[in-house]
Amino acid sequence: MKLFYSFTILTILYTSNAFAGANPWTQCGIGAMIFNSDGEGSTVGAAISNIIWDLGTTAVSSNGSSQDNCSGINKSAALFIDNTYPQLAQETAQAQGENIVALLDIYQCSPSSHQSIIHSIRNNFSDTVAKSDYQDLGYNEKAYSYYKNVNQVITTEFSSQCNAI
Amino acid sequence: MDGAKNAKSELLGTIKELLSPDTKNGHAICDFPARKNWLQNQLDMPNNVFPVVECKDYEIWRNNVRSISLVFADGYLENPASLYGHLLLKFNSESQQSFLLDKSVNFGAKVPDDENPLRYILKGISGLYSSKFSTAEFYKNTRIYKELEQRDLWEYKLNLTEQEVSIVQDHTWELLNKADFDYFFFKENCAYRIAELLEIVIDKPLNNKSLPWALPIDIVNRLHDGNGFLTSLKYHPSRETLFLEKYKLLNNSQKIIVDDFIEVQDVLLLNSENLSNGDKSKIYDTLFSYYSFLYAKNLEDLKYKSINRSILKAQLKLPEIKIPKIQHKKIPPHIGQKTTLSQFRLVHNKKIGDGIVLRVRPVYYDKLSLGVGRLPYSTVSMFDLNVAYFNRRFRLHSLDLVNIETLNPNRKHIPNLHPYAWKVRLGVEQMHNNCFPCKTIFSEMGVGKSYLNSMGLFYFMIEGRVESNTGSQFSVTPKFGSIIKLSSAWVSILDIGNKHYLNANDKDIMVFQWNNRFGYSRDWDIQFSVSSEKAIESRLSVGLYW
Repeated sequence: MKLFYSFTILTILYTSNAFAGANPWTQCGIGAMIFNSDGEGSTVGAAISNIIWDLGTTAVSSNGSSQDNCSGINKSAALFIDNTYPQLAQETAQAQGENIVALLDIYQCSPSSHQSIIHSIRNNFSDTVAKSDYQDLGYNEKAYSYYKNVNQVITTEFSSQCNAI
Repeated sequence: MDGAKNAKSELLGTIKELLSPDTKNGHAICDFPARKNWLQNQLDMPNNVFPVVECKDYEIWRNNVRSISLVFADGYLENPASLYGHLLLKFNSESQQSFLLDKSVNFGAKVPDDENPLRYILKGISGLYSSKFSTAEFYKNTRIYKELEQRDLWEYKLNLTEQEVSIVQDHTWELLNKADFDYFFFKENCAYRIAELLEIVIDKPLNNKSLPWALPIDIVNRLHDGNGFLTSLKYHPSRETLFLEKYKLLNNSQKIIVDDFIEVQDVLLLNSENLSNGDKSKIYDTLFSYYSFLYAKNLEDLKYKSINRSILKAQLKLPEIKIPKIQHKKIPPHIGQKTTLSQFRLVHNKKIGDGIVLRVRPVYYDKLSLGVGRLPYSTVSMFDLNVAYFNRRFRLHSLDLVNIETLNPNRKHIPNLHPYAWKVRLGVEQMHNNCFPCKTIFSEMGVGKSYLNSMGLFYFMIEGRVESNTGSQFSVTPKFGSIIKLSSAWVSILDIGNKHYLNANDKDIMVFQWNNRFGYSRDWDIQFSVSSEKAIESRLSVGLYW
């Protein structure tokens, strides 16, 4: 019985701390393209509309450490979520869409597993949106929350169907 | 080494660097793979003469690309940089991954973040910016163009062999973030550079070197009108377009709920028990698009956050219902009229007599043009030149240096982010219909509102104008107008106004214009117009577009 409880506690600790690591929004410079430091809204679309992207902000090594949230799949996923969160939120609620499929492609999840993964993400997302503080969260906080949700689902339920973390 | 000015020196220098055994701090093979491959083929060099080098960044960048697409972004009147649209390249992955993750390549001027549009125009026209190629995942571009700027994207897949794809990739790699170019708004712009890049493998000139301008849509047209350069077209509608399409597909009772929710944001409307899950799904889908495009540039707006949460909660209560894909009906831009107009016009003027007018408008379109691939009910035109022959004399009739106008119609139940019609026009023209030699330099600005319904578009505008003849004369002209499409081949525009001079002794002048376009061809049209400003003038024109 002791072994059972120990295992249970360890599992709970593991899954709740599966995201004890870096927050890409605060620690990897993600989110700078969307908002200025005052969080007042997009800095994009001022005088320039045909954007030049600096290679440094887009180069991602696909072979980076899986524990490092500032490189590899984690950074790619965080960047994607940061750029497309409004569409991801809608598509998660609708359980379909090209952006959520692209996100699962970043995690290299097999296409046959997509619908099941989306279902799990959706269930968790439903709980998140139901909380009274959801609409008070800033954009970066919502995006990070979504990122944690996706990582958690893939890590705990679909690790064999995805080439993840 | 004088390789920057001497081609032989450059060649010898390139070969030396490519063969250099020093691979510790980068190598020319990694920076210039296109030159390496080309030289190797030309000089029949075996692989073993080159040092063995690992080019990690290059291999990651070019990995798994099977085809290349040319992507055209619709024109955007809010930014002078984007009046004529934009071109970028998309490198399509061989793997099954989403197209949103494909790499895209952009070309643009290096403009400071705080640059204002006027400074941008002046520096862009005079080549005072440097410019470069850059790369990003396609989703970053869809976010900017589709979600923020509400521009449709048209993806034309190029018909290239595997080797041709490889050549373009290698050459693009050499250009990325290394080469600096001068940027000239009219000529050496995104259209010019992208076309120049593709000309390496496309056996047809895509840039017309004899013209002092390069337009993105002209590059698309030259590819489309050629022999099999394109294989397919994929349409990526903007969020605004998606909303309009989804709204049109709703039945009347669904539309009423969407309209009511937009007006009062009552959450109870979303959860009515009288609605089936299918109804709810369509309504929520439409509302998502509405609020996404309405608040695209301000996602922290408190009102938007609250509404968005309400819709998300309502949607999350539904079971997972398949939402059918929309069959998009928008006509692609390559079907639109070609960009340059040459026109021959017969004129009958009650005061001056009969004559002819020859017109050349290099770019781009006006309210009479076919409404395909253009922002509807708008004019974007530069250097529109009219030369008249009356009474055995040729004279300049008019030269519009700039003529930009958009009516931004308000439609019932459809939100309008840009509720005002506006225009800017600058040039030289005949002052009134009754005086052939009387010319004036003018600048004109107008603001108003327009409404679109099933009969047509109706607008009101107040135009302010400054004229230069015999000192400066200021006038204000309130006018009413309409644009009615009587058929696909007949558009009729009517304007009536009263020109009132503020600082001159001239009496008020009633101004009247009735313009008609006949025909539905990319290449020609016939126009008939009657105008009155101190004299009545009728015109019959034949225009060729090329």
